[in-house]
Amino acid sequence: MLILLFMEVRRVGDLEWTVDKTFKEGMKVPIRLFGTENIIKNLDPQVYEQAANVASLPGIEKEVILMPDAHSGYGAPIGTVAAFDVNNGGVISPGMIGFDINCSVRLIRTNLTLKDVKSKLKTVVEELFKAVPSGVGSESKVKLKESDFKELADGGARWAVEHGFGKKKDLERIELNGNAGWADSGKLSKAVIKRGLNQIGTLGSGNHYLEIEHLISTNIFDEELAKEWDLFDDQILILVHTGSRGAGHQIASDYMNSFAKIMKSKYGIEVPDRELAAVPFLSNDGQDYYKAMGCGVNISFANKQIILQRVREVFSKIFKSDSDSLGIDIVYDVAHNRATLERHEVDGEDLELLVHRKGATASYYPGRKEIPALYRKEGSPVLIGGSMQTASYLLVGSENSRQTFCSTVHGAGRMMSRHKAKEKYDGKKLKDEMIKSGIYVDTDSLSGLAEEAGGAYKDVNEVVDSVDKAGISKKVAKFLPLGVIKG
Amino acid sequence: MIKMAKRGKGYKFLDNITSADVAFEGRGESLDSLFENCAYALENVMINRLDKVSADKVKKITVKAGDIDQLLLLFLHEVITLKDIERMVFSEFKVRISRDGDKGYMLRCVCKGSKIDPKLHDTVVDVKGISMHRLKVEGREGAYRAMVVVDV
Repeated sequence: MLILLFMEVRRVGDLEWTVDKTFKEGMKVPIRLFGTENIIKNLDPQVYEQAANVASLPGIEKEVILMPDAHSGYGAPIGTVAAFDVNNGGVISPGMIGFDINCSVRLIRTNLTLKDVKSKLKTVVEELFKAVPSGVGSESKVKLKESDFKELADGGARWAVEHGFGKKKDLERIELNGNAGWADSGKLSKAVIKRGLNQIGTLGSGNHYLEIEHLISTNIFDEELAKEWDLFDDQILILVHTGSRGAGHQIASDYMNSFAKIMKSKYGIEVPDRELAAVPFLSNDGQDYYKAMGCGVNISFANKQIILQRVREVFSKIFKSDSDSLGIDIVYDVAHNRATLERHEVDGEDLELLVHRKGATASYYPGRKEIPALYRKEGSPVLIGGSMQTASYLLVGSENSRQTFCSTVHGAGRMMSRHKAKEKYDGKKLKDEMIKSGIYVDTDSLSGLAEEAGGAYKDVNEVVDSVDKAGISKKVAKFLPLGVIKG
Repeated sequence: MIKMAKRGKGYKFLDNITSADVAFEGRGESLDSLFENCAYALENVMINRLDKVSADKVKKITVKAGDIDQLLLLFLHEVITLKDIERMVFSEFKVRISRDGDKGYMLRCVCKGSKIDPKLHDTVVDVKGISMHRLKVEGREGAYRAMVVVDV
């Protein structure tokens, strides 16, 4: 047992911990944490306070789950999973999903090896940097009318493929097959559409990136599955981390503000933190947000389809071959900020739950119907992005994810503020050091680069090992960065 | 270190509030100058050296809110929206806050700046929104301060 700030964190397994619901008044369920003792000891105290607030929301089921990469956020911690029984007053809360709706990671494979790419790496990074707008105030190269954007928000990756961004086979390799079918662009404000129009197909900045990755045999942990998913020793891959950009943020803000005004008078709901504003999922207001949030999911999927198209064009030009011959295909695309309607067993009862994952990735055990058909037999692929100087991981959902409403970690998580990182690291020096160590980098902003230094992040390996050992998701492969494009 | 803005008592970035995003404290002798300094701080999250942003394009912002915290939130949100929709960054803000009858406050702001150009401007990190987390305006005439967390 750990005694932290007059609170008992009880060990209930090698890597499992619990905080009873007596910790804070109003908690309806306990908190369950996953991680090593080192991780649990170093969680900031606000995480517990915020998780306890989530545990008090109407309709919450079983427990609030905190992942090993949890850190305090706004309303709910990043790294939280919370499931609400929609047929028993369960709520939907924008603050429990995160502002960058469907912020996600996409892994793209190629047939290329290091030998093919090494001499051209600089050109590849520079051409990708030119082809994919990034950074503060970047402008979309895809010119759409408002009516087109609404169709995009309803159709997601499917819309993108129909409009020449990608191939039909891509849709089989994206969760939800690239389309949140419940989306309704009629639920979006004008501000969402205006912000989205100018940003579609852009990468963004901060911790969003486009990276060239290298896979070597010693970093393949599950050879059979790696082979099944077309991965091999010495392979070059591409990793994209971005989301729904300003449009998604506007959707979350619009509905959070609206819920804050009506939740008490209309639904009698009081929350301990205004960032947890929530309404019943099955109410008209709840359904409106769910449909708008679905648009955020689709905007994110379409965004990455456009980026994939640019990746294919750049590689085809440089390697003088078509993208099919180069084998440029999605391995998987998975979000870490979303709520999804799913069925889970709680105390022997099969319930319809709205599973909120904020800074947490879906990790479905084999056979779950949420997994695209191509992967259903093996379990859902899980992608965990590290910092730009460290490894990223591919995992697969495994049986113990039954304990976590089929959810796992999402990344390393920062441990140093941006301001402090900018003081500690010099952007130009960092860029030179990265190039010297074999990672070619191009960026809009050297200051922005300094903020993203690997040293500002926690150790992704410890975080990933925790969920692997806990059997929530199992390691398949680890990738090391060769090239980085930062906004 | 407190950075001196063109008016008021400036702003400073805070290290211990958030690691993933950015927090700052704005200060001002009046609510008008407090809001201006918060807007400078917000622009400074995205762009180093605001003095290199020429003030040749003018945009106007008008927002109304029931309380002063909400007024600051909506004002800064409009600055972000102008960045996303029109790709504008500003180096001059002139804020006028008045009572809006008995319904709360009204803010009018004249913003001067230019379109973001990575060749001219030293960009840092994009801001997607303003968080309600810990947002608070405090003080009295002569010494106002506000805590703001921005989502990047």
